[in-house]
Amino acid sequence: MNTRTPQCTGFDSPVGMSRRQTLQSFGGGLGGMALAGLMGNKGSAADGVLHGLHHAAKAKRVIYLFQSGGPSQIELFDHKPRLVDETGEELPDSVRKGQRLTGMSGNQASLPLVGSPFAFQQHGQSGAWLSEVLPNTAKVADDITFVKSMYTEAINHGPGVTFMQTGSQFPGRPSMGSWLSYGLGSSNENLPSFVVLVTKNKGGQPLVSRLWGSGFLPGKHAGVRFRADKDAVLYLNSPDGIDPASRRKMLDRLGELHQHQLEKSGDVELETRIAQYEMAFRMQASIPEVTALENEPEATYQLYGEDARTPGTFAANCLMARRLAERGVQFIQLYHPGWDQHGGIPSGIKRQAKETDQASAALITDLKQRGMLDDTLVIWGGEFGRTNYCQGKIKATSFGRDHHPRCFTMWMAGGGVKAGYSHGETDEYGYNVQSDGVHIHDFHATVLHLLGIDHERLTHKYQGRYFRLTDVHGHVVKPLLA
Amino acid sequence: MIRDNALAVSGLLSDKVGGASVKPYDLEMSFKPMKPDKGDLLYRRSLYTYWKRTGPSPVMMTLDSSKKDVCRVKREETASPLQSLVLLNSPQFVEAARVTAEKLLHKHGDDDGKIIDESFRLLTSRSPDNREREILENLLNEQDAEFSESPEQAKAYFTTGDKSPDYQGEDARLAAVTVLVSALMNFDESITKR
Repeated sequence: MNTRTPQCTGFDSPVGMSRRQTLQSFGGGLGGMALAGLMGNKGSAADGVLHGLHHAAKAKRVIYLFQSGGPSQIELFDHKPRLVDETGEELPDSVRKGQRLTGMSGNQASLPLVGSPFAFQQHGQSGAWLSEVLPNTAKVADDITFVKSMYTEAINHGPGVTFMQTGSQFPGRPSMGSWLSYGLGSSNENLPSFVVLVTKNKGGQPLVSRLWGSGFLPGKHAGVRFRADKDAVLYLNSPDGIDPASRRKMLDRLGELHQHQLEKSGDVELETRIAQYEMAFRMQASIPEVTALENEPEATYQLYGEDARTPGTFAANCLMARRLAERGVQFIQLYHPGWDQHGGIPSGIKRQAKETDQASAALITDLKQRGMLDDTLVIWGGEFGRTNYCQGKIKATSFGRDHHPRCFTMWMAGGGVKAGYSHGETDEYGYNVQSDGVHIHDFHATVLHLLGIDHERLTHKYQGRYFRLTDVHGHVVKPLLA
Repeated sequence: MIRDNALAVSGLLSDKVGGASVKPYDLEMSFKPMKPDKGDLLYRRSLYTYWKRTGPSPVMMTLDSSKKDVCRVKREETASPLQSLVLLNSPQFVEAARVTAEKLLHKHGDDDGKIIDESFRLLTSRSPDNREREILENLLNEQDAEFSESPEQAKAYFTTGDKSPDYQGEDARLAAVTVLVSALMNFDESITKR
């Protein structure tokens, strides 16, 4: 396919192909070149803007299980017996150190500590501490790296999720998946390289479509959301009355028109147009094939849970993610909202855990069984954590927690991270990071590293300067690497 | 422009100036779904399309409209299969193709040559050459044969869009001319400035 070499003039667009380049590489195979202009590129990493990886990749693809709203690390991962013992006592000033709080609990007269109502136990060879609400995650604890010392500056959802997805609290930067599509191109010519799946019918903090947008990168790098209805992709299906045979005949004639135009004008951009319509036709078949979860055997549903039979659930989306990964989709971004428990923690956490625990663990097991866990990075986590003190008053059976950016837990599995490892620690009150803090920028740098990319060398010039996912920050967290 | 042009060619385009934002068909498919408008409000210029920042018009996003959260000094040139799906399958374009076909049939009746010439000119601003005419004649004949064999398919094809069909002739004929117009709405010369 195309034989583009790195440009030294500085004037040529690093994306797409100029007419001159296209003509120069005319002998390289027209069809291939035309495809290269579509939805990222085909084949190897050499087709992205990077022309190749910076170092050998451990992960070839990412499945990011985003838990939107800010899951409480204290009820799930970060075992803090002291909070249980001191429930009802005031958060010491020596721990808070004057840090700002959100407007929701900042003017409370009292900030009473509150412990987890759930029992914690150690699991597996690695002895990872996990809450009783995550029995399935506990079973695969030895495949997971827990990062307990994540931190961010964002204190509310909009900026928080935007930071986690784009490396900036302000809108307008490309999403992680867009950077990957821009850098590496696509390894599949029938499916988009960046697919987004959002759990259906969940309340909670709203998500916005720019979270998977391409920001200042070309629009073709934006995430493509698959819907849980008959049109998995916007207007995927032909209109009523048009069957595939009729559509095929029409596209053949349209292809003839374009071919004729190409012969008359010699403008090879028309090859791109022809390929664009052929790919659209193939997607009309390939997308229903990948979204046909009903063809999965019974054992799959035992693994992922009965929820996986209902389109649009987190479980169904996890299963879909595995099917997309198998077919070469590089970045699969799930969103599961509903973790914003300002009140009603005990029941809220149980509900959220029930919706996510089995399928998250099943995805790891399933990928492992298929030999895909080694080169698939699975990420689980939200935009920030929750406070160690109660928002409002502690009631007999219920309490809430406010947003807490100072520390939270995420986990990763496969794709070149250690198996059965826990990184970083919070203080015994679960308020501050005590050791080995991992900032969002460090997390981004590490994910790119696993994908074979030096985060300092994947850049895009915009408004007069070069931008990166990590902008001017970020360090690869080496202890996480297997 | 692409949407406005299809509406203008069909005669559906509303020439009203100013007023409140409107919700065309695709807002129903937005990330924050909204109920589409009815009647004339479906056919106003894209300039008037309601813009919700958390879930903008998916058709506009697919066609690479500026996103309004980043500064853009020029529009990008793009070609993605997702754009093809919009032009081929979305109700706005399917309906506009059908209404254009009705207009051509009322005007030219059985005269395939005139229908091909005028539809081509409407969408590309030039007349077809002989080879183009030949290709489009083949297309028209093939589609006519397809729909004549399965008239119920033709009927189903007319259910897209708010505007009901306005044609008393054979269903297969209207369906075939609609496919012709739809193909031309997807022709490179109709949608790209070179």
